[in-house]
Amino acid sequence: MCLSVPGKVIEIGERFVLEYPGEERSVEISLVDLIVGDYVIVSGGVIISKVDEEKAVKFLEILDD
Amino acid sequence: MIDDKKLISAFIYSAYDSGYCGINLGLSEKQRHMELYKNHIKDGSYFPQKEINETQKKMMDLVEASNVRDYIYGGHFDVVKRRISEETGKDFCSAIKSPMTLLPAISCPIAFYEVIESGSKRIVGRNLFLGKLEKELSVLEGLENPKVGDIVSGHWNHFLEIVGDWKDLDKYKKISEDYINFLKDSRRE
Repeated sequence: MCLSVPGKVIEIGERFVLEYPGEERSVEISLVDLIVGDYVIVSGGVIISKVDEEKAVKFLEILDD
Repeated sequence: MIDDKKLISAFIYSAYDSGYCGINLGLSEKQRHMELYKNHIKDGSYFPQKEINETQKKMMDLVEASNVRDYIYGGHFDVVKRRISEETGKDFCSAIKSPMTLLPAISCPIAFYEVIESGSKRIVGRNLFLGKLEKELSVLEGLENPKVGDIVSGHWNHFLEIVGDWKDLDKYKKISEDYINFLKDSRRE
């Protein structure tokens, strides 16, 4: 099975430009409203959800605790 | 211990439902697969063997697992490390410095929980090796009914099965604990 990591929205225009470690990718369709700076998950070439930054940071704090 | 096919269905369903997995499938195709898995769990109806043959073979071959539990509770940890490394183009230890990558690194492998709240459609579990991590897990219709105090496995946001009475539990718990310790050590480097 494949696994995605979240990408960061860096541009919103005709396409959504996403930043990943070491590269940028663009996606045409989003199922959610976005602003620049959001982190998102892409599945089947479509942005399907936003990632809760707070939740991600909470995991980090729990692990580092 | 539940039927292997139910376990596979619950494992893949929870992976797809997370949004992080099955990313190469079209959304409608993924939804169709999920419906099949859910129906199989609920009433034992058609098991989507044809649909998952390739995935299942890949799963087993990747880690040379001889049974589905050895994959889910054992080899899958290495698969997650490899996939995150491939996806980010970095070695795993560097990649998880980012909280956005750490999130799937923690959530994608299975975890063991002690049930602290129980209901018919959801439970709350305390992660055995990250004591401050309490997580709500959905219970799909057709799976077991965990009670408070049970030790269970969970994948992403879903309960998988009750594991407290397994003779192999210590072996699998050790793999899970080692993985968490590996994450902690990697973060400290």
